[in-house]
Amino acid sequence: MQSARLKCIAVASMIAGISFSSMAMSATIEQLEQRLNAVEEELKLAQEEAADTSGKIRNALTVGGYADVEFVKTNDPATVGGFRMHHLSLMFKKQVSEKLKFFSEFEFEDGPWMDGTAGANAILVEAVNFDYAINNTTTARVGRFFTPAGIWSVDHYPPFVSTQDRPLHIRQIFPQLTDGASVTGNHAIGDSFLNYTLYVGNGETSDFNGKQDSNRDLATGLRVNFSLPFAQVFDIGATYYREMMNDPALASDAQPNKHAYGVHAKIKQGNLGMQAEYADGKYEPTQAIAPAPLPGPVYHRKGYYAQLSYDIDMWTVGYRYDFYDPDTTATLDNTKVNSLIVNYHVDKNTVLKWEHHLLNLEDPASKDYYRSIASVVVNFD
Amino acid sequence: MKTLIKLIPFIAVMVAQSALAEPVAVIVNSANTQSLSSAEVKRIYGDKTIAWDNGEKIAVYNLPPEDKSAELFAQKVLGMSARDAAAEESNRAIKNTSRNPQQTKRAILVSSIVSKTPGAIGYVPKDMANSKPGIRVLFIVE
Repeated sequence: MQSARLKCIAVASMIAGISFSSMAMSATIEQLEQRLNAVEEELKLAQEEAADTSGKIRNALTVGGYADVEFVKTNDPATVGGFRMHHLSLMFKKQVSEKLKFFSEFEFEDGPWMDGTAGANAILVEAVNFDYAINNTTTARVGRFFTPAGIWSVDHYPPFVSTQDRPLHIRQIFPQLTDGASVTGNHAIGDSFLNYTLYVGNGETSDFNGKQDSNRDLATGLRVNFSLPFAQVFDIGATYYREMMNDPALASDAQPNKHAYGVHAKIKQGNLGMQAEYADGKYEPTQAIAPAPLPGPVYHRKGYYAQLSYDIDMWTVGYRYDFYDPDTTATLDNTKVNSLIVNYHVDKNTVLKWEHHLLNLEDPASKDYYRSIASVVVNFD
Repeated sequence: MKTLIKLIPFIAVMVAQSALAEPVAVIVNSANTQSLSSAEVKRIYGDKTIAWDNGEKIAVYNLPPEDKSAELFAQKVLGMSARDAAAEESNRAIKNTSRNPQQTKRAILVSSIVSKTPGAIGYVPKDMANSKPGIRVLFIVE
């Protein structure tokens, strides 16, 4: 009887022992699983960190840019269509220190041959400048930069604009580039946002060069932009520019004092976008030596465009109306352009574009014509 | 009517895709006590606000535009597609107007970096944020 009881106790102890050790084992397995998961997580993170080199090269000199190739078809008697190696643009950037940044852009236009002289192809230093962050709202810039004016003058890069041909008045009233210095400020005003750039530079001249100011004084300009909280994007702004020109391409007694202003607006809500600019340049002829206004004719250059666009998934379709008058005192020199636009965004860096421009010339002696451009544009991040 | 019938599979795929998108947590380092609304986060990712209230520069982290979390974040917070948001950032970089360049990394790295960097902001799938120490969730995007 006693031995039977002992047997029972022994069996029970064995069962208890087995279940205890099995419980202990399962606890250990659980711990091991947790540890394994943690190790797996750490390994994954280490692999990601090893693969990610962007942090390491952040302060190194980086190279970016873009390229585009076009096929142009036109019945313009003054030009010939065909394939065009329009831009190959290389940008070099370096964050020199926490506050100092270097930026440059070299553009190879129309695939220049280094030893070639024919044609209008060119190698251009479109930008070379240093930015110094004075504080979190204000930056000073010195060097060559795109003239801060309106929208298209700065926001013009082919991967991010809908047409290869720009509106006619762009670069005709405000100059394309400025060699000089600027101060840019950014300030929140309630839910709105103010951005301004005040600048001085050598100004506009037909012998634009990077070594001296050919004009009679420094050009000055101001661009102001307000971002208002009414839509996804609701930007309105204005530009002012003045200078006393001394352009060798003009007669010495007809060097204009130039005052130009412009207004712009950009709105985006949902799939619908709108962008418009207006600019007016007033030219007062003066004598280069004694720059008092002459009794000669004061003339204006005027231009404007309005562009509507609609996004459908990877597609953007649009329409633009464009007007330019190079001299308001002259007759029969206006041009109007109606443009149809189709973009296909392959990804964020690649766009296929088709644009069809109908140019309507005021002069009845000149024949209206079209320009149709198919292009592939790639941005190098 | 035929067009509508043809569109049904497309709509079904779109609905299924949006249903599959996991909620996204907008995150900062746990040492950061500043609270931010969705509109304020939009200004940070739009390069308009570049510093925290204490003056420290914000380190802004994005996910690749093809990531589903990036699409949800861009649609709901920035009011645009992830591709458009990425293109805007590229455009700022190419025209040299970017005040505070953003970095694009995969979610696991974003959560790790934000947990170690007091001045960082990012967004990751909600589950990833919940399981990571050193992170504070500002708000959830669904």
